[in-house]
Order: sequence, then C-alpha cells, then structure tokens
Amino acid sequence: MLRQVQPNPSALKSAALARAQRAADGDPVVALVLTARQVLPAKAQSFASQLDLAAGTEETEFAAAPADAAVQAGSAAPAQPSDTTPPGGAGPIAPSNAPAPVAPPHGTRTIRQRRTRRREPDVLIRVVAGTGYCHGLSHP
Amino acid sequence: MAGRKTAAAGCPVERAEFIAAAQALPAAPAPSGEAYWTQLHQSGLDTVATSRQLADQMATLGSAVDRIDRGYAALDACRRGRAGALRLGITEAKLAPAAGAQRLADEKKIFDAELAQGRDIAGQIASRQAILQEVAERMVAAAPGSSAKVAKAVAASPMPATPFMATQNAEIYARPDAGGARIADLRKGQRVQGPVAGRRPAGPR
Repeated sequence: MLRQVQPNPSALKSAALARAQRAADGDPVVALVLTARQVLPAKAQSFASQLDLAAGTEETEFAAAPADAAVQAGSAAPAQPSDTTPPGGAGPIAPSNAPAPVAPPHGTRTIRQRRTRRREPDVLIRVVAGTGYCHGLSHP
Repeated sequence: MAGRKTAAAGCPVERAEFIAAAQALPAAPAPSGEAYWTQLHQSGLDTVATSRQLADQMATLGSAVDRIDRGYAALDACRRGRAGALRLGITEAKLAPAAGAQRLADEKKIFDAELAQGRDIAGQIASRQAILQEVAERMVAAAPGSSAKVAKAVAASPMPATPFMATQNAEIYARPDAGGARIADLRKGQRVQGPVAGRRPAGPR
C-alpha cells in the first residue's frame, strides 16, 4: 500500500554522505562501511524510486483520454488536461480538486514542500516520533 | 508510420546521455563479494590501501549512479513532455483523435522500453553495490575493534525516517492496531515519513 520513495533524493544523498563522514570521525574502515551501508544505497534507491514513480504514472501520462486515465489512476476526480500536465510535465499526483488530507492531530504536522523534482506531490504528512502506523501496510 | 518515426526520433540528446551514463557504469570488480574479498586478500595490500581502493570504487559507482539518475530524469521528462504535447493537440483538435492516440501509444512503447532499460541498469547497480558492501562488511569484521566503532557511529548518526508514497488510498493509525486512533487518511500518491528503510515499517495487516 505504501511504496518507499524519496521526496528530495539529492538532499538525502548529500545528507547520507555528510552523516557518514561525520560519524566515521577519520577512521577509513568505518567511513567505508558507512558509505557502503548508507550513501550508495541512498543513491541506488533514488534511481529505483524514480523508476517506480515513472511506472506508477505512465498510464495517465500516455493515455489519450483524460477521463479513462483518471479511472486507471484510481483518482476520484476527473482529470483535466491542465491538471494532468502541470507546467514542467509533472504528473497527476496531487490534482488541485482532490480531497484535502485530514488535518493531523497532536503529534503530527503537515508540511507544504517546494517541488524539488518532477512529479513530486505538494503535500507531505510527517508522522513524528515513529508513532504512525498504516493498517495493511506492506513492506516496500 | 510517420508517427512512429517521429516518436523514435524524439529526445535524441536525452537518450544519448542516458545511454552514455549507463555505459559509464563501472564493471563489477569480481563476480561476487566473496570472490572480490579473496582477490583483495591475495593482493597483499594493507588495510589502509584496501580501504582506499574500495573508497575510490564506491565514489566512482556513486558518481555513475548520480549521472544515470539525472540522465533518466531528463529522458523521462522529455517523453512526458512529448506525450503532454500530443494530448494537448488532441484536446485542441489540432490532432485527429485516432492519429493522436496512435502517436501516444508509440511514445508509450518507447517509454516502456526505456523504463525496462532503467530497471535493468538498476539491477546492475544493486549488484555492484552489494559486492562492494559485502567486502566493506568483511573488512570491518576482520579489523579488530572496527565493529564496535561502526556500531557506535551508526548509533550516533541514525538514518532519517524514510519517505513512503501511498500506492492507494490508506488509513494511518496511531498504533499497530486497527482499533487505534486514526490519525490520517492518505490519498493515492500522497507521501508520509515512515521508519527507516530496512526495518519493518508498520503494524499488523
């Protein structure tokens, strides 16, 4: 139900590198293993996530009929050309007429993120302190 | 036929760069991590020299992955841009629906082929990464005191929460139990920060 993604792959990759260098504290072997465990997987994950996102939105992007595309994408809102293709070619992740997310209660916050990459959603809910659980969640 | 030719000719710069980036992916140093470890062990290099060699290989692989990532992003954007232009042409009646649909289908075919190529490359990246990681882990296991240092470094610098995207509408509960307080409804495509990759991210089904 949830697929692992990276909202800002470039930042995550840089952060992983910086974190590994800081934590290694000059030890080459520790730096090496942290790079192997964190930096390279972050880069590989970035590319894999991009492919997953590309695959997840292709039916809509390459459909000739917008209405059919909306049904295929599971969207409740009828897709309009202007919604499905925002400037820059972004996909219909967050149509403007889609239902707004429920306001999170105490302990959570909603962040409106600047788009850093194509097909990014404009809303991200952060469940803090590891308290969020998704019923039926499958491991990515 | 003309439409097919047009589609095939699309995005030449982006496609060339993506292919060049894929070709620049370094070859695997050995068929497996174990084979590479044996190879390094037999080379007679000391730990510092070995770790430097591995660090260089990891840096090269990382740069190659970055280039592939950027290359695919540009190619993907180009294909979607072309699809968007075709859809607009159909919407504005500048393109006959049947002809437009055919050209979109042609674009999709190329997009699918490039996506499959991307997945193949992702597999190669994962394979090379696994080899280097296995050797790095073996180095740590072999170096006295390194395991403790690594454990301390990992504890001091935990990975941030991992973002996930809802692949379909989903309900989020405050604890791993459907009887727990419902704290959010996610629509398809929405993102959440979940536990770190590699750990079990959620409660029961």
